Amino acid sequence: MTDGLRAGRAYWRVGPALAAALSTALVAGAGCSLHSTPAVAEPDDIEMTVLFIGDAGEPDPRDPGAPLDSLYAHAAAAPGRTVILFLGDNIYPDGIPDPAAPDYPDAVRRLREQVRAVPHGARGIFVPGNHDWASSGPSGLYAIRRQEALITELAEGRDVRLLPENGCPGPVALDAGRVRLIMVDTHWWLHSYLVEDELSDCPTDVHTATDVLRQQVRPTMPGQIVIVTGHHPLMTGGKHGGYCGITAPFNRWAGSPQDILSSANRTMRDSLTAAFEENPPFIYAAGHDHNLQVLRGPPEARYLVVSGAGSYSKATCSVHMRESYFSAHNRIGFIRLDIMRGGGALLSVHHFDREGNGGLAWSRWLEEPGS
Amino acid sequence: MMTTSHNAVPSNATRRVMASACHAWASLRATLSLASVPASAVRATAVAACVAVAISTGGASAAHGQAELTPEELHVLRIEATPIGALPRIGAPMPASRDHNYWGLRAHGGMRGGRSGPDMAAIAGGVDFQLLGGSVFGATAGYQERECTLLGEDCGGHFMFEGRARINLLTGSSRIGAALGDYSSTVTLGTDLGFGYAPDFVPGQHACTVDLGVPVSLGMFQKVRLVGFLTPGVIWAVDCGGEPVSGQRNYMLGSGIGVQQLLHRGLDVHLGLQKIFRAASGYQFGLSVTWTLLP
Repeated sequence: MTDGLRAGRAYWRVGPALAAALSTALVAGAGCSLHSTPAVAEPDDIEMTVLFIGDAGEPDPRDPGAPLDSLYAHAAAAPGRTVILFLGDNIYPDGIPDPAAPDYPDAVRRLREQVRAVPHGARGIFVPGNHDWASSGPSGLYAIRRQEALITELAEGRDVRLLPENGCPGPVALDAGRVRLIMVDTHWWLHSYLVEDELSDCPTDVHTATDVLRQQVRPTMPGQIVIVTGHHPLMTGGKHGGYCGITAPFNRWAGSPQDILSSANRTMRDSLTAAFEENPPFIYAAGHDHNLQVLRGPPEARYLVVSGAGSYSKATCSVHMRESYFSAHNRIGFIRLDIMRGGGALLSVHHFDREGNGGLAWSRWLEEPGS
Repeated sequence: MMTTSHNAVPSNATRRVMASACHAWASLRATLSLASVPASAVRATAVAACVAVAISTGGASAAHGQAELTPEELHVLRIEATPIGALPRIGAPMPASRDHNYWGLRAHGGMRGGRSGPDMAAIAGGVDFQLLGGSVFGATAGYQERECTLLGEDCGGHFMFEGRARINLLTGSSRIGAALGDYSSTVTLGTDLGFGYAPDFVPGQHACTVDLGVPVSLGMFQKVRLVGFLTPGVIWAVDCGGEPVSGQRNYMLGSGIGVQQLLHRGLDVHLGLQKIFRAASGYQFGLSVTWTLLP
């Protein structure tokens, strides 16, 4: 042992110089990762574009600005091949109230701004979040139905709708080319009040919903890209994931069902992950935490996306976890997925400051081109 | 004054095995500049091999000769004999999903600098358990060269052990990083509590130390994470055999820089520097490599 240590000691004796050299190398190496240029998809090679934005239900009443403006611009470049997914919490704070309520006009404004971000020719899909369920309140089911009707009313010829419909849990699957989009209302699992009534026209038990989801995530063609979306994330480095606050790690015992550490949330996620067990989807995309994250997914899914930075007033903390490929806090923005003809899937993150400065911040080929 | 004498001598065979195994430390290091193998991985392997062989052969080499130690010298040796004082700090554990627990392996190499005399080179390895992606509980075993200027020529070394809880109190985003244009920056504030033990750090004397620290770390960048950390703390020497110890408290400051997710999502490398504020002590400088097993 002593011989070995002596030999090593010669190495360590140059400690200060070594520290300086290594530190410089480490800083330089890490710095390179900050300044590397994100990959961009060649527009002519794109088969389909999916834009993920969440928690956009509090646009500035004077100027909606970024990211809805930028979202519109991205979609308008090729609306025929673009789907915009609004990942829940489409109207803060309590969804669409009764039309007689004094806050109804402002709730309509909040929704209208988002519907208008969907250009004619593009497809817009709204997924419900906990705030859309009357902020988890007793009238949640009716607030969801009002939002669905209002989206149709505000569409003005656009292809926009709320899915799953009629306060149902889903899942609802839509196929477009080699992409299958599956929408789930995850808050349905967590809601403590009425989740069905005589108008409900769907199975409303957890086992059926899980079984249907299990069938839907099974690919129906080689190379199919299955994307599941819901409001609540399966993993997150934000406030709802047990970070960003001194009490956050203890939310296991005193937390809300909206937090990953709670048992109710665990039960909901168990339903989803049980359905994903045999055929993990390519992406599970959610909002809920008001930041932008791309995470390593297995075993639940290959990749996890959290895109809940649709409202500047809500943008908040995120923690870069060991599973994180990308994280951005205190920025507004959205995440874009380009599915390429002949194989390839490029995920890119676009974020902005309050003045709208920003843009493409990061990208990664989730599936190599031509594969 | 206190007089110590050293008599136990391991067999020649034992010494040969330990020496040849630990020679890997030096020879592998020499190949780093030639081979494409990541330096951190090679070093981690060498350190782990040294620790494993040292433990399996079961003993510190002994010393010949005699030395006289003042109480101050004995105290400094005591607080620098356990992993708390022999090895520099590492950064706060990288946060991970709250859904999982994580096991990790750790390797350290450390030495003393900033004062005359032997550098008391130390190597150690450890196992960590990260609870729900946050706090880490770990155990460490290692080996340190003795201070042979004081204890006598060829005085050998001693084992050292440590148990440590690294509690993450607050993990959130950092406005400092954002001001620098990095919106992935994460700041972690925690509490470190450790207990260190070094049997026969001076033959016939055992060292026990306890420390409490308040680590703060800042991680930045999206891919390979650069992390800087600072850990102010207090170390106490406590009685656990040999000369009585009482009320011996010293402040300490650990600091360093590291990279997380280097080449692999689970691999972190830290360079650390630690100062125990005691006149006769130096500083500890070293390299730590951790490997977190992902589910």
